[in-house]
Amino acid sequence: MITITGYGLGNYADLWNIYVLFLGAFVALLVSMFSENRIVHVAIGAVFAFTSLVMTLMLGNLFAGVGTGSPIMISGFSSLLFVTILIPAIMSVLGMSSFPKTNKPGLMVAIFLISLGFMGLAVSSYNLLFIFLAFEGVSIPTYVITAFGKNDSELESSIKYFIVGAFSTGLIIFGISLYYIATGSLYLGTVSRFNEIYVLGMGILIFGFGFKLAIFPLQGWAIDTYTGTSNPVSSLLSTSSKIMTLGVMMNIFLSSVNFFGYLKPVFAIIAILTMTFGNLVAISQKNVKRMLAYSSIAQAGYLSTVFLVAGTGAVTLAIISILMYAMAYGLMKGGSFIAMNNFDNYDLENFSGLWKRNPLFAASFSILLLSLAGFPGTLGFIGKYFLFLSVISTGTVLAYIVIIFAVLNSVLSFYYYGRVIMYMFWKKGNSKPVSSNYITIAAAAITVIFGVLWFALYSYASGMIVHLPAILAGGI
Amino acid sequence: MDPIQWLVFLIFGLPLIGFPLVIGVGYIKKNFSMYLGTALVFISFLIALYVFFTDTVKGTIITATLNWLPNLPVSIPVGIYADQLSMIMVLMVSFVGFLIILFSVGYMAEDPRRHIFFGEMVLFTASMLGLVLSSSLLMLFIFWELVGLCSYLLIGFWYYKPNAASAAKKAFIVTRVGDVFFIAGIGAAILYSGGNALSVSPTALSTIGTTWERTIVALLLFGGAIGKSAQFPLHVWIPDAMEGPTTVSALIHAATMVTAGVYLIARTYTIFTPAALTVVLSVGVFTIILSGLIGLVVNDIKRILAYSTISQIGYMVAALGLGLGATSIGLSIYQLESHAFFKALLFLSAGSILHALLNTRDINKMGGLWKKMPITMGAMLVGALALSGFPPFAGFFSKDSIISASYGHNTIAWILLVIGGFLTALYTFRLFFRIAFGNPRSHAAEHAHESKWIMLIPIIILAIFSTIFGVFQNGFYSFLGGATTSIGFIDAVPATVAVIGIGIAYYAYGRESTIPQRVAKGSGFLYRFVKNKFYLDTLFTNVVAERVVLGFSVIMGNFEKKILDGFINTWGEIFRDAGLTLRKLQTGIARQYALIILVGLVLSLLFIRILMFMGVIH
Repeated sequence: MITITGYGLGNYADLWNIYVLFLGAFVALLVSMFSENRIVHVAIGAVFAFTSLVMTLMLGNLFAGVGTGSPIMISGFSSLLFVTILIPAIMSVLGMSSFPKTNKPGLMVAIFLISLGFMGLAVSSYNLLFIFLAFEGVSIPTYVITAFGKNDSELESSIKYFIVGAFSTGLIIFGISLYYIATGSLYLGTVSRFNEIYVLGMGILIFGFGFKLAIFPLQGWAIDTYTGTSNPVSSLLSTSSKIMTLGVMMNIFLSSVNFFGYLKPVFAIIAILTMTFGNLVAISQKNVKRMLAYSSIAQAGYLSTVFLVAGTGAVTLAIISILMYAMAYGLMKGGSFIAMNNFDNYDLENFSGLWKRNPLFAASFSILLLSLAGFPGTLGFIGKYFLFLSVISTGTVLAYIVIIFAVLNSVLSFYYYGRVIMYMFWKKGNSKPVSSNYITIAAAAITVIFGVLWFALYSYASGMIVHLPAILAGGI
Repeated sequence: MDPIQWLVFLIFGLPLIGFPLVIGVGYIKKNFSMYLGTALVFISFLIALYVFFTDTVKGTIITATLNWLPNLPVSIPVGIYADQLSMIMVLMVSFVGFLIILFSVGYMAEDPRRHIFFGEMVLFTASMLGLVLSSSLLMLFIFWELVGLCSYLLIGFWYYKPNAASAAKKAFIVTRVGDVFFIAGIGAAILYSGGNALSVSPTALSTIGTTWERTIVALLLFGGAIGKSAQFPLHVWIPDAMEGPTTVSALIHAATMVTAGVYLIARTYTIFTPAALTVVLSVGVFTIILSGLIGLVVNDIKRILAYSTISQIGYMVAALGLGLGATSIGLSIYQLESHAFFKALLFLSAGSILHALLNTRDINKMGGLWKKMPITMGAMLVGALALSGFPPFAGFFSKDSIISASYGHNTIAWILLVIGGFLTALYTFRLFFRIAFGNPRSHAAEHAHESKWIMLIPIIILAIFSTIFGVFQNGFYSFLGGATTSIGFIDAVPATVAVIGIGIAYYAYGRESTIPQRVAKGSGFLYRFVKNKFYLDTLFTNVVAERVVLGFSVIMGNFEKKILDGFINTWGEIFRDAGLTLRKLQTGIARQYALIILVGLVLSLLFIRILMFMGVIH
């Protein structure tokens, strides 16, 4: 058991990989005073996000030795997590070159970069107050950017997102106050003195933070918002924002020693319900974008199985595999949402004959869909394989039950992913030409390359995770 | 990985990664892909040469293994395993492959789809190189299937010819029958060794426990080898495969595909028990006689060469079946290499002839080419002499050593192998005399002319190797750890028989004569039997395929339609209905979402509370 002492600010002064994003936001605002050229602003966004990516990769292991008593700490774990957030974010900002429709692209890119910066802060925070601030710092810009195109569906989805988000914020604050009452501290990993209040607070925090991850009873807004808003924003919300939430939840719950016992059955039920719900409803969808929204609910179910390893020796393997899965998830989900940019309506019929119209695009989109389903040879398979493996290696009955459900659900998901592929390759019909989407093609290429040469990724990740934040190892 | 391991990887990695590029540049300019493809295989050969002379000659075995998908009950090794056997195969495959691709630059110069052709040729060579360098049976199997795929693509390269399309299908399906045995063999190897025997190193393979288990694994792997190496009864695909471009046939017969099976047996030789070896020997010897007889009555120049390949591979298989340990491997691989040289030579000469004769393949329509194409025909004579085992050409050393080695071992086998040698000489020189001597028997043959230099250079290099390769014989055997041989009295028998065969061939085919017709008429039924390829094709198509397989598939089809489909559809409907019901949760009204969250929150807190009260969890 680890008690937290020390009150330093951590390596706050060195988080330049995050500050550069805020800097980029100001640059975008400044430039927008002179020019509202969309391409320029998208380029600014991409360049700053990419700079941050490079800096994060370089910074990675520098701060492994900083004490765990800090509220902000960039470690190998958080920087890798930030990499998996930044990669789909870059894809999203590139996708913003066409949507959402607006005449203020400077503001849009600035908001995007601010939310991205807060994502970085959120995953590197180890104090609930800091986490809450950073989390709201992500939420508020994303409410705005969801509504940025100002058409009816975007406004509607933003309002839904905002209402449920406000509700969850209330839950988070309530949960944090209960946590403080129980432990007398806002630092993560503190041992509680009043166990029942602590458990109550943690239970509420699951729901408060879980809304962005869109786990089962909180999935309602997500489907409508992912479907309603513009594609790059759907991509941002369902990849970067979701991975950030997962990271924050891992920080909170994998360090809550008193809570491990309750955590596992609750998350087992949530994971099973989430993936089953997502997959079953996705089967009945005729709209591809809505199908993708449901599939990202199902994916949230797979992702949340990681909490079953809390407090066991499998944490390190689980964290490496969740990073690989997050990487895969960002690529395939981001790539497929942005692929929607090239279609004017998302009806399944509209995808028929895509193979004849644009073979490269059809093949790339199929690869991403297969990767989502977990087809061997893609990164999606590798991520899923390692994640399930690490969960199973805890050896509990609960873990086996959850993984059996997860595998059955993966089989089920082949139906609706396969249906889109079937329409693209074998259905005749639409013959309107479709232009290539290079983001999708690049995402598909990376998915396949790392799907085969996954060990490069694995060894890099395990090299970084040697310095796993000590509190995550919780009860070991 | 060390630099040397990277180099070994590059031997097959370079053409494997480069082949899409070869096709790609073809869209800019078609000739670029010819040059790039040739260069890639040549660089592979140079790397192989470097690795061979820096490490392999010292006896170093270069390995690098990685466990693809760790934490499974069975480890799945992927990696490279380059010992003497592998590297000797690599040298041969890359060298002969390079010469054949170089020849193709001239041969395919006018084909409109030549960029795709060169891409596929490079992939073919790369898969074969990967096959011989694989460190595990599973990886070997993947490359094995890639080889099968490439053969399908290349045999059917002129897919608009119905014959070529059906031949490609036949090659693929018949070798698939062997592949089923191969994959069953891999399964058996995993089962009997607890997963250790996936690696191809002898120590790993010898973890397969009892003699019976080894026999089963060995015979299953041999079943795979039969398919790829075209041994009885799965040899039927190879004559039809002659419908592809001639350079493809050369690559299949000399460097890549058919040698894969022999390599597989040699690679896993540790597990071949005496019982399994008896089967190997019988199949080899039987195939030699069978294909030798058919070779005598076929009139298509390429098909005669195809049957000669079947019988020469039969010698390799028979050599392995003798069960002399490393000596057997030495004999077999030496025959494989010398066969690669003279068979590539013969096929490329045939290609040169077909190029000149506008693809007339019937030897009855040739004749008199000796004067029109002296270099090609001279090279062909060298190839024919080497194939018949005439001293001092390569075939004499390789084949006669096998025959002599069988003398003290198994007298029946020895007699049959000698007869096989006689048949080889007879059909080879029947081919040669019909083409070279006499008067031109068609318009095309009258106007034949010598081929381009880019086609003649590979032919000449191969002719030189076919002539002098015998020098390396004993060095080769000892390099692979086998016993060396010296020429003794017993070696005279096959050589004499070969000379008799050539003599009879001249007597019957080298001059105007009616002997062949009279023999054919005299033997009546027997001739028809051989002429129809022992009715094996008819048996496979009419009885096995149409009656047995088709009948079975009708039964299975009904089973699937009525029972399986019903079962699956029921489940599908259940899931769809469940989805349609659950969908109603998604009302689109935000306050209801908040309500659902609240209900969920209350329920889960209640759940935690109950767990607490029950004291199940602390």
